[in-house]
Amino acid sequence: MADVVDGPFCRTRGSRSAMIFHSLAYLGFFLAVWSAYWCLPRRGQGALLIGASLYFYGCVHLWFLIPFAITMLVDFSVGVGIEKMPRRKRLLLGVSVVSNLSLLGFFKYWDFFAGNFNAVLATVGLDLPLPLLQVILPVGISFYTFQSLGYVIDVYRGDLPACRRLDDFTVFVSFFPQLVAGPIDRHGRLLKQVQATRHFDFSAVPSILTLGIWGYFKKLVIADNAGLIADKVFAHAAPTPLLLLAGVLAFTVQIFADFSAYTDIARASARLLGFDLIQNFNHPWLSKSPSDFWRRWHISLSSWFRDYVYIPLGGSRAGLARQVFNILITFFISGLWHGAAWNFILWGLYWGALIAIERIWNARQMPGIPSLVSIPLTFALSVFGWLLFREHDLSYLASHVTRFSSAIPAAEHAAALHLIAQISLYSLPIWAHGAWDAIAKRIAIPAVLVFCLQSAVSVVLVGGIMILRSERTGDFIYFQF
Amino acid sequence: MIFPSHVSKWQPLVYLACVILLPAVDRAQITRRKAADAQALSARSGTGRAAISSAPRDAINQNRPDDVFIGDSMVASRITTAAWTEATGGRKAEIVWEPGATSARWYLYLKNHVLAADAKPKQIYLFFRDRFWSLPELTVEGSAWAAIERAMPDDDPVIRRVLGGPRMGDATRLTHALESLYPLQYRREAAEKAFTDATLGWAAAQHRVKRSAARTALNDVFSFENMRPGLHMESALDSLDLPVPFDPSPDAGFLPAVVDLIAQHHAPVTFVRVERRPRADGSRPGNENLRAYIRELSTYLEKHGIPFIDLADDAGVTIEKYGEGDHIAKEWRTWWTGRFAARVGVAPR
Repeated sequence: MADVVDGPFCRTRGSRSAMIFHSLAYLGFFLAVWSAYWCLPRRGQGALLIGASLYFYGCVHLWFLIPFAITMLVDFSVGVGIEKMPRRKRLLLGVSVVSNLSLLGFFKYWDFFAGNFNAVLATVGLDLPLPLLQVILPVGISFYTFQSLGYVIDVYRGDLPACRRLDDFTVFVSFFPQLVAGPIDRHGRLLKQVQATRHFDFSAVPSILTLGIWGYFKKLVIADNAGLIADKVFAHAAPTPLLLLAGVLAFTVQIFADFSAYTDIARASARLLGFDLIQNFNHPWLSKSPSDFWRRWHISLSSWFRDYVYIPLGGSRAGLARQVFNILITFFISGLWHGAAWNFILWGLYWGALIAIERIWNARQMPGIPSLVSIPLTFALSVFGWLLFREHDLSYLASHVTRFSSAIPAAEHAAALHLIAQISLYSLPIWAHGAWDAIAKRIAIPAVLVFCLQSAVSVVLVGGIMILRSERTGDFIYFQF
Repeated sequence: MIFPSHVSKWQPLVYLACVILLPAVDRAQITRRKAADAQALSARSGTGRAAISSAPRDAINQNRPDDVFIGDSMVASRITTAAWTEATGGRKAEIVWEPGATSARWYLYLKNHVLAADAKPKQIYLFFRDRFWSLPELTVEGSAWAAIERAMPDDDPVIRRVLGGPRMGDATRLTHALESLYPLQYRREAAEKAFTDATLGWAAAQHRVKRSAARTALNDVFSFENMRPGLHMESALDSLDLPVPFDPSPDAGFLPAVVDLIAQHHAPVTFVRVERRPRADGSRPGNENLRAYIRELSTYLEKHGIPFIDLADDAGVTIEKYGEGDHIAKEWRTWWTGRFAARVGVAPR
């Protein structure tokens, strides 16, 4: 056993309560900020947002502000430096990359690499273990480092001018609605809004609140209830295939509802403050292919990897073999971004392999697959992917994914089927939402009808939250990344 | 959601009125129903918290046990009342437990059930593992919190002091106020039951079995014995790699409050630390952190005159006697109960 280091950042130390979106503390906090915000001039609004964001983040653990401040100050200085000293811009970019990746490496990956390194040493009989730090992962570090690093790369490339005001840059990186789980917004979008004068559009209140209420419904009703089923099944020592299917379907529903709920609440909060955050999801369950899935799922992250990893590697400009390599590398890193564990890497490579196969399929001009087949097929492939994502114990996966038995009692089968039926019902609102958006895109619906529907849906969702919300709720899943 | 953006000036106000007022429309009807239906009141009390359960105290008063065991599944998977009676020559036992290592609940069981019962047991055993008295925030969320509420008639000052903050403070009061304003939530239990009955009924019909059989199968599938070791809520915090200091200050845990209760009531309480599942080589999980902790705990209890039995190194409880995790297998529970009775050497009734 490697030494465990004790210290102020270690897991045993206490923390204050995090201010999560579905807490009354957040609603009170937001109402206070919102009320004061619209009474202030633009500079005052910026100062208020900085104070509010630091308070919001510091509520989790005060020391989380230290790595956050390092990222912000280094990247702000690097951005300005690149413009002032263009001949040293490569060096400055290196400073930013090393700084951000070092923070990520220390907090997120050290124990993973040290653990694996120690295991390798142990197999050859060497007992020189690296210490395991057991450091708490600062919430949102993967999101804000990527947002800030994306800014530096844009400035390095000359795509956008550097931000010359530290307060504006601080708002850009620390903006509390999207600080801990994204979406990872771009300099070109968000910083411009930070620098512009904002106005509150009262007429937008129904659409903003509907978005927020929909987010709360997805989290408290769909994700939390689905999570109960997923947790139960994945805690089972020897699930039958049907039970495992119920569990992974539950997790599929949970992770989409949970993460998209966070994004919706973040976007609604931002819109109430006059900001328009990037859309992060576009009905991923309706994807027609693996690459289509990634154009619809966690859009801000997948476009970040496309722009800052895949394209610099050569993207689709090179030959087919090189393209496949680029895809696999990009998804390997994407998997690792999600977590320091082998199952995340496997999950990333799984998606990389699927997209590579799709690329080869298209390059060889194989026949297209009709939507009636491709949508369920892509959904099934994504469900298998979530199995890899959810289960950290690869040996458990290996032993149960292929475990087929014909001697399962009918009552036990019925029990598993009951869970699948529950999951199907919980997922219905998400499918209905997809259908509504598809209709709204094709048919011009009268504004009055839309307003009536919006109000009715909001009332039903609020009632649904009160009656159907899960007894158990927790953090959003993506907080851990 | 994508909606066309046309709205007039009055629409936001109408929208807000709908969203704020309509969910409260049901209020009068539910309030009448609450008043008429005492059963509904006992299922969910007026403050939105879980209803208080007097079942353990009632059982003690009814059965008048000689010995009471308090704990979690560690005690329930070790002691059987029948085996205890047999091993002790007729002494009756009562086990007060719920799953999950929650020291808050152990404290409340002692205070509100065992010491508050009219029948006074001759001996009370508090079963625990390793350092759970110093992990007060373990297993206190969701249904575990409901279990705490069931054992807590009022706003308990010790629970407030140790767990405090959002659970017992203004946020909770605000939650209760909101729940009172929107009593729609009283329909939760009925809605949940209808939802479960519908899906279970449908699934049972597909396999031509009775809904009750499917429900039994569901409970069996997720019974404790079928769960993976190490996936319980306490596992993450209970890693022995993490140093947990022994802190006897009143804010740090429930142990000082338990010691005070014992002193106030002159209660015959014995702390019992149970053994953990051995590793494949027969050794027990443990390290210097844990040993130092147990030394301090033992000294603290001794200082207060409270007996402490440490079974952690009982080599006789070998690995084949374990079921899942640290639980003793069903077929060895009678044996374990007898062994414990011999160890404590209780006098026959």
